[in-house]
Amino acid sequence: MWEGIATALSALSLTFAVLGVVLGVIIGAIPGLTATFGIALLIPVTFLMAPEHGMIMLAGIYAGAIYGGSISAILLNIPGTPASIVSGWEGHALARQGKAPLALGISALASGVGGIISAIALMFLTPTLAQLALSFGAPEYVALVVFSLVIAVVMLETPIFANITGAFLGLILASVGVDPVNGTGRFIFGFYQLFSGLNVVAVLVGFFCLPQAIVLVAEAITGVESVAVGRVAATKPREVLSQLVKDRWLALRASVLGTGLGILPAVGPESTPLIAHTLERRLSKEPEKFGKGSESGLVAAETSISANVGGSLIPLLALGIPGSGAAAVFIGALTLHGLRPGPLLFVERPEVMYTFFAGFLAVNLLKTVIGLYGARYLARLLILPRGVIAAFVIFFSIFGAYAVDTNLFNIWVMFASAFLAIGLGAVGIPILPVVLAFILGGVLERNMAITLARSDGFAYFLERPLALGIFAVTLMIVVLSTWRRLGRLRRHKDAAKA
Amino acid sequence: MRLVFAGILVAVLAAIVWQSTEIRGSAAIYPMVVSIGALVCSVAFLLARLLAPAPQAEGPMIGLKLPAGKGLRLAAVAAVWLAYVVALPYAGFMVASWLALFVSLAITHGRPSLTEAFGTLAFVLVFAVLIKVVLYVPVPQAWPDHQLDMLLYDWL
Repeated sequence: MWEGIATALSALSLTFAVLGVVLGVIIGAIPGLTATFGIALLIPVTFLMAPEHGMIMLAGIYAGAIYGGSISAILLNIPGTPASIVSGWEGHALARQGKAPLALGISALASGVGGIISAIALMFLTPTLAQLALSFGAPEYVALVVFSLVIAVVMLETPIFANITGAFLGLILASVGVDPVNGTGRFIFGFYQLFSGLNVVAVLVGFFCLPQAIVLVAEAITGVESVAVGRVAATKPREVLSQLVKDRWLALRASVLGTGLGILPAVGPESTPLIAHTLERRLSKEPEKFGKGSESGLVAAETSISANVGGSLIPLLALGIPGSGAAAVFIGALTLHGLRPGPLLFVERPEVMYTFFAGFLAVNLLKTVIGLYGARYLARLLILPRGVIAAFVIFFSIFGAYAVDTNLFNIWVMFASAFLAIGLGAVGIPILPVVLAFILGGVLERNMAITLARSDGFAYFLERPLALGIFAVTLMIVVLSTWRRLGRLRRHKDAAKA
Repeated sequence: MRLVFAGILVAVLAAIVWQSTEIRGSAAIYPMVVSIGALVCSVAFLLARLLAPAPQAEGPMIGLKLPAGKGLRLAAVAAVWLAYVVALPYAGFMVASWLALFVSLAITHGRPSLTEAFGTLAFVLVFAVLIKVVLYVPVPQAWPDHQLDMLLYDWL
């Protein structure tokens, strides 16, 4: 462990952490570019690095982008990422009261606090969860993947059939290639390159980078170019610190909530600040200030979003199950470096894990410092013209998809994935269940085949209480969610009648 | 547009179901279950969606309504990048990348500019050197790429 911490604190690791945070903040601050996009785009760059350095840099991009989204939200009321909508309500209202430096400072420090608390949770919960997962066999993995997919399907606010269709589509994408049991080629459509399956990085870049680039091109064509950012005064750290001390219990609550929600698949940083903000408004002595420039509201939003990032990495590293879309893309980076996310990672490459834990803590500290002292300078990057950003995003997406295994076919896979993402968006099918099922489909199918080969009926599952327990929880979630949706439908009908 | 995408989705899923029926033995079970599930759910969802009075789409391109002429420019940018991938093995990395970046920017901004021409050329040159001396990614080569190789070989 100490070796890992020492590696994380080496000059090279810290350089990659700073690079990741700065790139992340820039990506996050540019409206339309998300953390998932940043990770997907820069995965190929990490190919040249040691796995631990690559992971630290990507964690920096993830944490930095989630924080960076708040800069444009506060200064311009344009959330850089969907996670920053609440920060925009509170932060921009503060900025309009002439408190932009304070709002930027609170955002940086609260984001740092949330990130550090989630990094501590990551450090202690991940090995414990991984230890438990070491006793998992194929049935437990099947139960866990089904649980994750069900959570993704029932938690998203989009229509349930849209979410189920998305999950099935992801499973289809994951099953392209050679059957793991019989060696039969499936869904190849005459392309021999598909025998080895779809390249994860190419698909993810296609899902998350190209559609955004097309939106940027369209905006540039319609005349939406850069945005004007005026000079922002320097933040006074003491003033910010005193606000955080005042809201210390709120920050702790929001951090724990953010970490907990991050662990659940499909509850990404987008919905977390809304939940934390609503909860804190109920608990606040001044609820009327929330939504109109409340410092406490901003603290709640920022700590919870940032804590969600660390939380989403816990199931990813311990079980190989991503807690958010961005964490799902993280899996692409791990596989690129020959690492298999899951409990065996702690057995096979413990040094990488401990370096990453310490590195993630360092990333959050650096993010706080960079945010406190550099946010007002990084905000100037918002003046970059959208057309230029779009052209280079497309160029790097193509290069990234190609460079993964120097195969031109991957570029066509990326284009097809982008077309799929745009098409699904047009008909209203969310992309998150598709990504989760695509990432987890292989694990599900392999373990299902093993389970079916070993089992001789339902009695087999009685010998696996853990798997049975997970299935029972899954069933309970399905029943509760159906009950809730039916109740909502009944209320809508009653309201329509009235 | 929604109808076109819905039609394509159902047609592709039907083709996938048909492919899964071609697989023989126990290997067919999983792909068949998954593809039939996708087809049934998508048809159910899309029918409900088409009958619904107020659709609420979510994708990145939704809400983006371009006037006809500007839509053509967007299609032209997309065509440039598709042509880039086709041209890469023949024109080589440097020429194809420079042309794609420059033409794409010119279409986006509605006019070619000298700054963009030289800016993109400088970027491609620097990036090509980086690829050869730092990233070591074997990119498709043509005459200018070979010349750069020779130059770097002599220099280093």
